[in-house]
Amino acid sequence: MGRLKIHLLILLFLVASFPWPARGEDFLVLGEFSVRSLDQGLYELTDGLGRMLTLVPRDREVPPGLAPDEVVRIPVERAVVYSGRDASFLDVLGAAGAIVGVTGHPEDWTLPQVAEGLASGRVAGLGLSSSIDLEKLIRLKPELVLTWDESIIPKMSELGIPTVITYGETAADLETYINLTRFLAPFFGAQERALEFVERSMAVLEEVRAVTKKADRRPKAIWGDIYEKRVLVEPGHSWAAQLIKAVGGDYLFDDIAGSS
Amino acid sequence: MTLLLNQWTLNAFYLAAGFYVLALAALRFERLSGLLLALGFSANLASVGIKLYGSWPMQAPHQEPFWLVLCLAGLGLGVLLSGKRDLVRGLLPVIAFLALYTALFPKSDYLPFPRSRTVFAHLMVLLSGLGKALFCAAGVEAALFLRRRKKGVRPLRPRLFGRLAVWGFISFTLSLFAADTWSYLGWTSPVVWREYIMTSVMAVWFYYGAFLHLYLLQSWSLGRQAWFALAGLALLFYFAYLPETGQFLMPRFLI
Amino acid sequence: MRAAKAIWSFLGRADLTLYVLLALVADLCAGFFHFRAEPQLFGPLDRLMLWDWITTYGRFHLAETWWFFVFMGLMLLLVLNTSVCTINRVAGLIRIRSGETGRLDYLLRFSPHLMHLAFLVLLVSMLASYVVGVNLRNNILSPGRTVDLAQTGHRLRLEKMEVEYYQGRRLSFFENRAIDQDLTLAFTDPRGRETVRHLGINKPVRYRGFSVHIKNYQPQTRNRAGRPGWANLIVRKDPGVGGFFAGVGLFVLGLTGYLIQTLRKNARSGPKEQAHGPA
Repeated sequence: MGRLKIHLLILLFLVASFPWPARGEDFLVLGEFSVRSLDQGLYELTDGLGRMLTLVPRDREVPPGLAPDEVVRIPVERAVVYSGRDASFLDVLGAAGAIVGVTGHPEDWTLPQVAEGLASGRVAGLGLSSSIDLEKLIRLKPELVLTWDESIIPKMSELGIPTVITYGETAADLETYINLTRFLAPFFGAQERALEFVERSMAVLEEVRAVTKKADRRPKAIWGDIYEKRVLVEPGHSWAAQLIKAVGGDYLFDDIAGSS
Repeated sequence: MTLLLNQWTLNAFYLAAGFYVLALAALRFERLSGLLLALGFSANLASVGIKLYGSWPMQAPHQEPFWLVLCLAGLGLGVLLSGKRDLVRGLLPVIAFLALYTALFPKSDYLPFPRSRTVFAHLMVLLSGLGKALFCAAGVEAALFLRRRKKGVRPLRPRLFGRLAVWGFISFTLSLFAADTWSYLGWTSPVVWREYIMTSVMAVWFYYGAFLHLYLLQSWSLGRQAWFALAGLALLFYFAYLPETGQFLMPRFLI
Repeated sequence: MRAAKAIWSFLGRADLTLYVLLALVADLCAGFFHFRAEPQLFGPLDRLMLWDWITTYGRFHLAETWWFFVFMGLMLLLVLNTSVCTINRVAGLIRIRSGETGRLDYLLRFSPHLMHLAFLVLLVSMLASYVVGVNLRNNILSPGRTVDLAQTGHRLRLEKMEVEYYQGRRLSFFENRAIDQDLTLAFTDPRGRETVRHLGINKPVRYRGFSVHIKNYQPQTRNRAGRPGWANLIVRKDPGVGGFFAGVGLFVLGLTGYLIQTLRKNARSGPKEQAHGPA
């Protein structure tokens, strides 16, 4: 009996000493991205490259020891966006108005707020992503750059502009892809909108799956790029492959894993 | 060129698998069976050789099943030459089954990558394949031991399954060290949390580590040790072999 | 005192080793499924210190990470068990030094314990790697740019990037693709003295306890060679890695000793075993 008590005490001690999450604490993992809620409306984020950023409300003090490019003042009012995907996410969050600069050919942009902004001059075209117009970018005074291009990080750090890599090293699955809105939401104070979007999208997906489940034929499909000497395909766990499967396709590289 | 080499790798392996199956079918005709096993081994060797030629100085991912079958067949030939015919008869079904499974479910679409350009990547595949082949042979020999005991016949080689497992443990451990070194050189740390298969590799190592203790301390009877070695086959197949295979691929000559 | 003896005797039991090892197998098999289902929860262990991982990914996703905590607990038990067993048995071996066998045979009897010691060294080193040290990722440099080495006053500059492109027809998928890199790195100490090292794929550079590794780089193809190149470097100060490879060396030494011991034993007992038949 005495031994049992000792064992129970040890067990109790171990359980009590474990850092259980406190009430209100939250840590969201979205593929390679993460969002951690801190006190006083602050957030700690991990981007697709594994870099940490701290989001600080404008009326709060910045925690000590952080470099300017590691801190994003929220809600963000001026953002430079590289990809159409991220711009669409911002649109979903009701934050497309915060886009002040984009890369790529202006005529390729179809998102109304960006296309119109480019036409009216409210949104600046920064040139191709491989050779952006840095002078122009500096003049825009962006509070945030959303990009896939890690090579611009040193320059942005030098300028004190926080940069977020919005693409991970491995391919994101469909759920993560949709949930990326929840990763971007804290930047714009749009968490509720993000949740609504995720729920709506997942519900639509379920509806589609329910319909396609009954299909007699599953057309074979691949998603990738064919080059002269190699074929690069999306892995089976990627959002592209999962989307094909959801709409009733037979994804041929289902067993392949890796990056996009 | 690469596509061609890839297809030849598979063709040579289909041939190897065919010979192994025929060797199993011709089990009654000992010499013929041995000859077919040798032919299968040669075709298998050609298959891994062509794959290496198409990847060298790098190593293509997920090649281990091909090496595992090669090592098992090599062991089978060695055992045959040493006169342990019953063990070869026990090994052949395993060789034929693994060869067929590998041929039909290969994971051969991955290209080699610059980080695999190190001798440690090659050593890892070879030693791991050899280690697992020895574990398989230990399991087969343990099954033979148990069968003889059940029939009331005195086992011929009561300690052989233990020795095979110990040699397997040595080879497997060295393969892990090669993997650790490669991992450090390529990814900064001896342990990299990228692949879920690392958990099953550790599980296999601990399992055979436990067997090594049983073998050395002799705290269990030989019968229980044999059951332990036999059960290791299931662990190996599900956790260490299947993750290295892919989805069903119909051989091109059948399409 | 009696309790301490009881604990010592419990931890020194050989059957405990077996049970702990089997429990580890079961736990890792469970971990296999969790890891496969949620790899994103475990990948961050490569860039975070253990405590940082525990207080984030680990504790907030216990339904998927529980096996990792069980694994750590079992490893602790295995370390204690191995330590006590090794101490007991080595002490026993030292006591019976005057044996009927020769000096080599006597020394070879330490081989399994050398492996145990190596195993302990490996585990302690691994723990050190995850608990202390520096792991600075994403140091992105283009030629001419500099980065601080963890605020030590030492600096690292990327001097030059030379890309080795694959040339040949055999590996057609690699034609004109980078197969290796030769990065010239210049380290400057607080006194301004410069040391030049060459970094490549699978060829990390060591400098004053730091190691520098390539994470990513551009250009990766010859047709992008005109664009500015850059390298994403990982700077690490890993106090465990030296111990880890020392442990590997010790383990191999112990393994070799064990093999020699076994072969010598077999050479002696082979005919006897046959004469007596199976056990």
